Amino acid sequence: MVLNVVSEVDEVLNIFQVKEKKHESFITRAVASLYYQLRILFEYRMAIAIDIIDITISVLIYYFVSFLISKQALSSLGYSPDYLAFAVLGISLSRYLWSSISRLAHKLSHEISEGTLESLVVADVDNLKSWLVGQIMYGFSWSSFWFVGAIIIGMILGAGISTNLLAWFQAIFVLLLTIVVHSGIGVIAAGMYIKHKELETMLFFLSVAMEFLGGVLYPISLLYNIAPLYYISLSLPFTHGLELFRRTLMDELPLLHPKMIFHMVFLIAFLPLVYLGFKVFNKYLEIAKKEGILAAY
Amino acid sequence: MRVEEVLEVIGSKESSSVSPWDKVIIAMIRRAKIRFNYKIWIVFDFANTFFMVLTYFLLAFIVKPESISQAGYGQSYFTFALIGIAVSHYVTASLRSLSITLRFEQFHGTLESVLSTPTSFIIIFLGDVLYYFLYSTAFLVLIIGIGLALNAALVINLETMLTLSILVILLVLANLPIGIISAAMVLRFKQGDPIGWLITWINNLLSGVFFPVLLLPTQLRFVSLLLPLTFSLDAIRYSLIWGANLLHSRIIRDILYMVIYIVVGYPISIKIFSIAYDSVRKRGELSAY
Repeated sequence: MVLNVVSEVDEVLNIFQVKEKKHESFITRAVASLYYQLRILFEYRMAIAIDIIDITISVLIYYFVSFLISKQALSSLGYSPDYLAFAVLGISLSRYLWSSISRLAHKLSHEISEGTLESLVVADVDNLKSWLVGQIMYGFSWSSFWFVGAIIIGMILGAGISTNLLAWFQAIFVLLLTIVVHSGIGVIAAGMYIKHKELETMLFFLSVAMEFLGGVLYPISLLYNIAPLYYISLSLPFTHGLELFRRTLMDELPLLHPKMIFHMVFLIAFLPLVYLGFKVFNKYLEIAKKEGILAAY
Repeated sequence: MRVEEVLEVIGSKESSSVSPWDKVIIAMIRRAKIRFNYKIWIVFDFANTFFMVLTYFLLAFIVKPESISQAGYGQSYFTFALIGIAVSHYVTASLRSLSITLRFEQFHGTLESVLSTPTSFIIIFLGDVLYYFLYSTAFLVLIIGIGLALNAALVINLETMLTLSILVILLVLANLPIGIISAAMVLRFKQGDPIGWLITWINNLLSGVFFPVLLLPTQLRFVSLLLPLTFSLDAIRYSLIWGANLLHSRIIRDILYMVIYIVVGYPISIKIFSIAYDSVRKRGELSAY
């Protein structure tokens, strides 16, 4: 009897002491992170319904505002005279801004306040990289839902958005490039958030400011009226991403067109942010582990 | 202590020296303290409003002024949109304050405790409404300040400010019945605040917040007449753009419409709320969420 108990205890101890060798691939872990987040989303069906109404009403508002806009004024600023297309493309791309920059820090804040971040880190095998990528993919899926919805409703209402397949391939390339660059900023922010909790407020502010300065609802050249803001706007990657995106889907300009090259070069110059983002995140994660502040909020 | 004594203590009416008005103020301070703990939302709210005003300031440069003047609101689209943004904040406050409070207490499991206290729920609710009213007034002052700095064509004098104060109070009172119905739904179905959101969006689309109601197709224009915000906005714009006071025929017409909403809305909304409240109490679901 005593011998039996001893051998059972040894077996249990062995199980605890065995290091888990079998790890799923990076992609599988990232998809798992995306999948669990989508499962949570589909639990809140009301939130999805609210999002659909939000998309429809937002586009309808700019449909009616477009009747107020002077076509000559819009043309004189170098755009096609279709304000509905201008606004729809702006608001649809701006959704990616929030999901790329602020969502990761917001998600971390949620995990910390719910007390689940420490558990995530304990089960982690790659410094949360696959988890982060899964969360970025989730933000991308959610924003894409908004993006597709806004564009479809806009086109039904007569927005002059290109239906040329080549223009769309180029637009998707520009979109992905814009998201990747901004995700780099988001990963840096999320890393810093682990240690500096007050950053979340700043990130909200940053997203809203970028949306305003990027010219989501008005042509960026109007910012000349407040000159310092115009130059700040030019230093933001979002401004250039949106400009490329609009010129592609409204005017079907190729990437090598003189009006596009400057914006393209500027956007590509921000790409190293992605590498830097993961470096910063790792650094802050290590600091937080050493200081034992992962569960603090 | 004997059982009779305990029952007497529990059953006795509270002989508090605190007046109902003081309780409303205490409830308001309580809500303010809770809300100011979430600084992120306040910063977000202010930043959002600030950038929204700047956006419409810039957009006004490419708007045809005749489309605003045809609706009777002068030549400046910026002034038109500025008033829309400032006033719509009050509507969100009056439509959603009660449901936000209820959902918050429901979610944190404190609703039953709040409703079990000798203080009437109406007092707690009034405190919340007062908080959101003052919060929105801070927004109104901020927005008008930014607008004036950006040369919005507003007529600001004692007469228009008095007219504005009365119109804003009527606006909140006219929208509160929808807020009460929305709260009844939150209490009964424990789902976010779908009615509050829906009415907020419908208001933004159909009440002329960002564009004149005249641009809407005839059928939708008829729907806009069912929304109190349409008349509040018209009266406030008329006063702040043309300097009209409470005795102006157009403002009297708008006030009459708002009074009709108030007179018809309250009995209906209070009845609906009572039904939802009694149903939840009978089912013992006050602490469920």
